[in-house]
Amino acid sequence: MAQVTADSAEQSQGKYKTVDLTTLRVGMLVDRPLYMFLPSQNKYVCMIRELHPLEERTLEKFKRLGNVYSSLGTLGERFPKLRRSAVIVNELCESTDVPSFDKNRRIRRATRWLVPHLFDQNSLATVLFFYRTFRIPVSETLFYVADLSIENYEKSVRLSTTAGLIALWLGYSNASFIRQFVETAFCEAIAAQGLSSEGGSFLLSDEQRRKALQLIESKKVPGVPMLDQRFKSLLASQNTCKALGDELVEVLEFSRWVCGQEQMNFQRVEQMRIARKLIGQFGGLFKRGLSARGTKLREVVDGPVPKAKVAA
Amino acid sequence: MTEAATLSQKLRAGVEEMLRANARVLYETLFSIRHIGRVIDFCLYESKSFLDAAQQPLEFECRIRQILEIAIFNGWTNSREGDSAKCVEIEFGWDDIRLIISVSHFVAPDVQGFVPGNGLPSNEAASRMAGMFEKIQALSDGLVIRHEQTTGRVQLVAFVSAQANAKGSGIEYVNVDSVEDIVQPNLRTEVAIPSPLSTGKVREFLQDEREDEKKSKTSGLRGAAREDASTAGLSNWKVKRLDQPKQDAEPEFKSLEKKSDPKEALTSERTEAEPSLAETPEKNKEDDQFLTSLMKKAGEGEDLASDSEQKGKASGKDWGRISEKSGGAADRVIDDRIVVSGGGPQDLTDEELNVKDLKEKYSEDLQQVLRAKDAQMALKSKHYQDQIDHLNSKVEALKAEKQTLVNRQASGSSLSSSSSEFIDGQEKAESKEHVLADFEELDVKFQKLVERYQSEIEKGVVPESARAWAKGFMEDMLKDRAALNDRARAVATHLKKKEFDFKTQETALREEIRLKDEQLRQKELSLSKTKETLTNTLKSLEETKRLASAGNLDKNEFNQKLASTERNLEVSKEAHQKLIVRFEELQKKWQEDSSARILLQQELSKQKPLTEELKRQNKELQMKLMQVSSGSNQQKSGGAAHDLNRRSGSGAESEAEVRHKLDQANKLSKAMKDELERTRKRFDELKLEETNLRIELVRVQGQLKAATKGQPQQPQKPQTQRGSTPLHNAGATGPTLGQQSVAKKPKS
Repeated sequence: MAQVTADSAEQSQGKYKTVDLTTLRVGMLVDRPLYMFLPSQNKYVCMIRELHPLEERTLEKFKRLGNVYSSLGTLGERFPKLRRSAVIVNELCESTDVPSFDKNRRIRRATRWLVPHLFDQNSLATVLFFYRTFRIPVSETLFYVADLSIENYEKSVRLSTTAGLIALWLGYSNASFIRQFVETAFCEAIAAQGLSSEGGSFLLSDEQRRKALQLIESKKVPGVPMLDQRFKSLLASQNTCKALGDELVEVLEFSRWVCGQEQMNFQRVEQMRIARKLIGQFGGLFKRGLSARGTKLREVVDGPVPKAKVAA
Repeated sequence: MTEAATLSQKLRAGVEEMLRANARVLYETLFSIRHIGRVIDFCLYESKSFLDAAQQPLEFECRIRQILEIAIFNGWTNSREGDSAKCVEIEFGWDDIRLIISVSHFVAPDVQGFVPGNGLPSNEAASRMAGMFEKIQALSDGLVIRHEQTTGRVQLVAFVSAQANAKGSGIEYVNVDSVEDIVQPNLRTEVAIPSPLSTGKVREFLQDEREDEKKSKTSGLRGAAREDASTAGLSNWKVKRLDQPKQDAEPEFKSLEKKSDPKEALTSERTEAEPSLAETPEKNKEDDQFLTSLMKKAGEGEDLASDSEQKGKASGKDWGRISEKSGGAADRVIDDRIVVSGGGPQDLTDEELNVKDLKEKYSEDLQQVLRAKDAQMALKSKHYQDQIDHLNSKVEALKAEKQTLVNRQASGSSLSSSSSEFIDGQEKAESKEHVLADFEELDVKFQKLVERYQSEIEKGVVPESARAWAKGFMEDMLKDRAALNDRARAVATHLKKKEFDFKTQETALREEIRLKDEQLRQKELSLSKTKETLTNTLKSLEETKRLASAGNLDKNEFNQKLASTERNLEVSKEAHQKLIVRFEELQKKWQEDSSARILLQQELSKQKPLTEELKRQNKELQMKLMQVSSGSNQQKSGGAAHDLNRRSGSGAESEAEVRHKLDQANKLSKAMKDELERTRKRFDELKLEETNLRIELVRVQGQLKAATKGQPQQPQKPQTQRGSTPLHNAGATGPTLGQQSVAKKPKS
């Protein structure tokens, strides 16, 4: 991974904390930026950014030099509820002992704290929660995609995990289903960005999407399993599915809006079926988050909103 | 229904959009059918208020239950094959007028013609679906089937009205792919917000469920359960098999072992005798045969059913709780087979089918159950008969014993001789007679009792005491069994929990071991590195020791140092000599240059007065030229004749002379100027040379000083750069301020 920044030791005194080398694995999604200290230059050099897969050579370098630092705390320090939530949700999604409504109730209770994080684009909680719970996207896919384009990769990871979390809240509480859906969203976002002539747009024709599916079916994207017919059609003919009212397409649309990758009228977002469902599920918490996100996105498009309007 | 018509024009159909604003909509996504009974129970529990408002709540509940069950089983059994995650989506909503059920699933593209009256079924799955849709249509007030051939999605929307006689038309089929006008979803603001089923009163429901379960286990007798069911409200009517509590309690644990296959999970939830619902069409045929035979049997047993009705053991109103009343496994089989089998009874196909038909159907089933119950009663009476026989045999034995006692008494009285003995014997005899009289009385009473029992048995009436004893015995037995079941379940739960705990611990320990291994490896690595450095240090130490022990260390070192010092001294001497020679050469050159400079200066001083003289002459000539030019102007203004005279005389001669002189002076001044330039250039060059020589001299002096101190110093190259001034170079080499001032002197 490229060395991005370098802070001198004097500037960053007490800022960097030592990272336990034994917690690092090849292929893992790094949850915080990792630095190496260069005594000759008296500087900390960033070796890998957060949300990127840890390469073998980087890990070897860390092991050889024996010092790894990070400016952020551990995952448990930053998100104290994450680990427990991940364990509970994983257990529940794999289990068939609990009736579906009870399962969904418990999942909702365990992941309620993630609602504000969903609308906060600076927070990595949703991505890390999903990676911890379902181990998706898998390492091979991460390596493959991270090599193509870092920006696309980061966007796609965020989008897919956001979509997965929303689907989980909507009651699709089956591990296999969720995994396939997230992989579909991830590959679709990657393919959409890769195939788009404008670069970065997620709106593609069905023909282009079919090409993306062909890529996956021909096993050119490593780590992605064979998908169910539902996800194949979702990937290949999303525009048709959208016209026919598939809820999963709406989930993807909503996620794109949340991630700031698709512009939509806020009223339309509020009236979306899944938005109403989630409001029914989480009540004011979700509604507040939604309106805050809407305001922020409006500010990005139209500039800051006047205070008088905000008060109104 | 009119809603069905409007629904057929929409590309997407959400239940909440079809209901009023005060509606409540629940949705649920099923990935397993293990708990569908509970899911349906919970749906109905949540819609209790709506169900209670119906004219016949129990019938209404049963209809909705059946619609839901058939729709879910239809979605599950006819789902697309090869999918790793089967998904059936349910929406269940109601307002104050009607209730709408929507069930969506995906079918394979080759499943066509599954809508009754809309072409022939393409395969078995399609025919099975058609049968189920017919059933749902019979139970609901309106049914719309929406099919997207592109994606294979099938959505079933069933309408049930709270009002009676709101029967709609037949099944409406909508091919969504052919709907051209895309109608946008209704964006009215007052639309109901759909909530997941999990947002309902889950805790209350589960608590009620547990209480029901407990009651059903502890009560033991069906009569009590029936009373509970009739008084406890909606949650109590859930099907309980009182005589098989263990099978109810354990399916979760049994199915845990087989949970990889949802079909097996389904079968495990039911009785063991019951066949799988998700089996092949042969099974469906068997179901049909079974159903027809059942109907025949029901026809035969009409007499018995009428008797049972007379006795008041069952009434038509209670058909909704049929499973609870019958209690046996057979009733569950009947119920489920009717619900699930693809064929269905012949009398349910027409539109005239209504709730009465359903009642009749279920009353037949009830008769069948009652026949089974009579058979059980006969078995029990036989058991009582056996007990009475056993008591009779005991009475006979007692009679024989009594006879032997009488005989012994007779023989014993003849043998007594003495008076005292006679008196004692008389007293004893009296007491014995008294006892015997009592015994005879008891015997008579017992005989009467036996006769009464016999007569009662002959009459077919079971004695109250026997009934009470049997009842108590059965209660005890059931209690024991329930307790045992509870214990077994507790043990199983405990085992499962322990197993889970152990697994978690094992995983944690494995993780810990792995971490420890990693740490150990790292420590080993660092240890090996430390060892290596230690070995190297030891090696060098050994070498040093060895040298010290030989005693050569100091001598060698001194010799080496001496040799090197001598070598350095020689080198420095040579350098010193060379520098002296160089210094002398440079000094000589400088002297020569300075003498040449002096000469040049002398020449310059000589040339200076000459230059001054020439300048003066030049000035004079210029003055003269000015005068001449002013004279010519006067001539122009004075008169032409006078001018001509002057020009023709000595004036013309002097003008030519002056011009010549001027030219000469110009030439001379030019030559002098050139000479001056050359001299200046030479002077500059000499100044440059002088500065260089000074720098060289300073450097040589420095080297000489260094050499005289005894330090060998490499001769430095002159650091003159092209384009840089000598003065700058002199500064760059680091001369003292005094030297710099010396270098600047010629400039000033």
